[in-house]
Amino acid sequence: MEIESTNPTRHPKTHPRAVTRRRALQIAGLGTLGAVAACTNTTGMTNGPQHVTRGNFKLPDTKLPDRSIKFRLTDSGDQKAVFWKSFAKAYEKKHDNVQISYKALDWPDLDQSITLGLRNGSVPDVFFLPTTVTNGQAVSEKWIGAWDDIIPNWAEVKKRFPDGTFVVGKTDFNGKTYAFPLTSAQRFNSLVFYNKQITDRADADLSQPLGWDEYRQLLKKITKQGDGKYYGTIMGLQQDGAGFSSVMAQMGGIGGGIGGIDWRTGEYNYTKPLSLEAVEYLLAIYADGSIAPGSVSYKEADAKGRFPQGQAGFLIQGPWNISPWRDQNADFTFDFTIPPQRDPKDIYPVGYAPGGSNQYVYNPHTKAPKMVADIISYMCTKAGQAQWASIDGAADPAAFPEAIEEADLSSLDAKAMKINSKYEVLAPEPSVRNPDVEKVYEVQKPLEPDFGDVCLGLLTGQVKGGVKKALNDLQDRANKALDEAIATAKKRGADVSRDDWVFKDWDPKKPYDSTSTK
Amino acid sequence: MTSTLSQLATHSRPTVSQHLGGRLWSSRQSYLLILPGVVLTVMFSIYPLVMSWYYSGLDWDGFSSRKYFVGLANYKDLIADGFFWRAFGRSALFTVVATPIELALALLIAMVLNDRSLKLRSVYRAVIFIPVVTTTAIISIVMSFIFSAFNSPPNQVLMDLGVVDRPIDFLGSPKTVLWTAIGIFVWKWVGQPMIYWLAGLQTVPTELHEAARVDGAGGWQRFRFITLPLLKPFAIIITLIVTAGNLQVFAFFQTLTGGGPYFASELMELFIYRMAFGTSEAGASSVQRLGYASAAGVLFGVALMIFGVVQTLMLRKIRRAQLQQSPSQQEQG
Repeated sequence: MEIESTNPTRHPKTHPRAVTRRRALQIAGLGTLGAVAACTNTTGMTNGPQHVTRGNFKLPDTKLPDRSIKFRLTDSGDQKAVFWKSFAKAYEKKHDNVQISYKALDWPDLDQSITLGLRNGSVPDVFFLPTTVTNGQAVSEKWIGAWDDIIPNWAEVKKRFPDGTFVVGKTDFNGKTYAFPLTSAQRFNSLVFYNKQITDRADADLSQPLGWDEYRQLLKKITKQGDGKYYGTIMGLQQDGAGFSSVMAQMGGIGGGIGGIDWRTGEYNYTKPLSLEAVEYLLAIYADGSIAPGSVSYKEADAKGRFPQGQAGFLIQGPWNISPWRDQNADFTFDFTIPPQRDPKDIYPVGYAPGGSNQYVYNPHTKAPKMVADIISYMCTKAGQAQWASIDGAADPAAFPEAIEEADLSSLDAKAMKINSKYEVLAPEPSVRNPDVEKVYEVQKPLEPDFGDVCLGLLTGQVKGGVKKALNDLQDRANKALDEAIATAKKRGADVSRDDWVFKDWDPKKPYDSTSTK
Repeated sequence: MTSTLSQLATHSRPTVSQHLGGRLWSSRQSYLLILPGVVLTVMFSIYPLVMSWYYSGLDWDGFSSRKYFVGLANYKDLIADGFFWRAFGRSALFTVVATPIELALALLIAMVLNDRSLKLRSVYRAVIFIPVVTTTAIISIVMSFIFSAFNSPPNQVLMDLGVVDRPIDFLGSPKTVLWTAIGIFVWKWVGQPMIYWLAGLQTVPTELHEAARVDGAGGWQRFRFITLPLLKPFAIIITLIVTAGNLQVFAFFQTLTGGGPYFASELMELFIYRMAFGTSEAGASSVQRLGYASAAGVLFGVALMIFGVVQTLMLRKIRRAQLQQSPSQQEQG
């Protein structure tokens, strides 16, 4: 088993992940973590009945070719690396002619190395596509193979997955499945983590969701108590200036978030009054001095690396931090809740796109197709998914809900899973209804500056004229970019129109009935 | 006379084929020796240059087989792109500010270290030169901690002295980021021109200084009328080298600030990189715009070429002036 890792950071869309340098080092030294995790209750958080023994893989008795087989797997790492390391050890033990080489790359590195690999035909056997390549593009360029071609009874295997996992235009093309979503996209990525020592000192009651004003006052109080040693909250605004406001607005009723689209009308949400309020709320907290100095120049990895050091009371981040913080910071006691609410009595869920998450694809020229099929087939079983859920926890929720029920989860992982179920709903996705929409995505020019940049610019005073003007400008530019992309895609043969972005029957509080291909 | 010359010319001029073929054959060893250099130059300079012109006319992500020729559309978009011009301006500002500071500071240090009576001068030289050979990314990462807004030494000093009541975010404020970066950059690279200046200073005859001292010239006068004129040819070359280096700051800024906050430290190289390899949250995928990035590279390259030509013309003018000055001085002497 070979394991390599750089410093995985947050993926902009379907894999919002990030780790610190310490985390990367931990990944590199994970030889014993599976066993340690299985027998160690680091903070007294082990939860409920344990149906599955973590790391005890019951692998199928597949007969692989007798020759020596080298298998290469690359993904974005984080907690996934913990799983694959543990799995590789078990697999190599069962098949002594197999050597698994696993590589965890951060997203910028993955974008560059896999892009080059696709061009020169040197991609690993199984890998993640870079963010710069759409699945449809990879299929039409013949860069990836169809799972139907190597996994026996693939049509039957697909039926084990929940609705919305396999969808045309996301995972399936030309009647075949090319992208295998190993995990569920139903993951709440904006948990409000809090340092219990600091919030206890401030007598904060976090048993119920806080209102916007309550949260603001609490941040002020913590900042005052910190007296320069710690602050109300810390943020990685250089990387994600948009996250805070967007999730606030989304849970207040802006379906799709500020930078997203209201599927009922097909219009962007930038200019909605609640979007304006949410951005102004961020500015108000900043003006209060409640955001730790340096946050405007921090990336997410900086903020989440400083948070366990007691530099702030709160940090909005994803559930992938639970295991690293717990395992690496023995003195750090933390918990989490959902973000503050504009109206705690009327909370809207956050939408997630169909097509699952952590989509693995395979190299059609792999020299080990049987082994690729064997591994992915195992991950399509309840046993494989339960092991995934036990090791990966809430970082990347397993695709099978029943596997999560059987998994060996810590109390915090279990809590995060409950939040996933309660506050995440399946949202519409234009490319599912019309696969030609992917061709629009391929040519849609990114907004420059985007919503995150604009928030940062407003905070630092570089964007002049006020929030309303800035959001109006974003709305105009987003519409123009989408319209231009549609026009270009149409010129190049796509059958698309702006109507593809309209779902009149969408209710933001209910899961949208996606077109499933299973 | 005229007929003799024309006869000679006619006589001595071989046919074109004889001339070219014969010359090529007789100089075959020379051509063979320069062949590797020519091949490498074509591969790594000429080919990328020509291809970047070609790519600048495409709407292409850089890796897919589908390329669309869009003519001058990328250039048209660039000219209207405020971020391009701001990055361009920052690159110019950075070069114009950092280069003179670096050169002047390096000269000052070199003059101090050129004093043979100074003890441990080789140690000082080494200490000043160490940042030059230290990996840029390491320097940037360390400096991002040193100039952090939280518990960093400069902020602690400023707060202890009561100069500020809240830490300054040197690398997070648009007002300070570029100047902080210039300071760090000059500190890192000042050792390089220092070595060049030292080499130049060691060519200045000590007898001239001694004679001037005997004639009553002070330190400034000796510098102004002896050292500086003799250093002028060196100064031109050192300025060229340092300026060229100061336009290649990608690794430094990428690791120190990433171009932020809100593009406040985005120089041209970072802009080109962002366009060519950047990711976004628009739609279901992000778009790499190699054609657009190439167009930006071509425009920036043209600007550098103009700068280079102007510098060369100035260099010639200075040399010509020096040559004209020398005979007249000799005549006066």
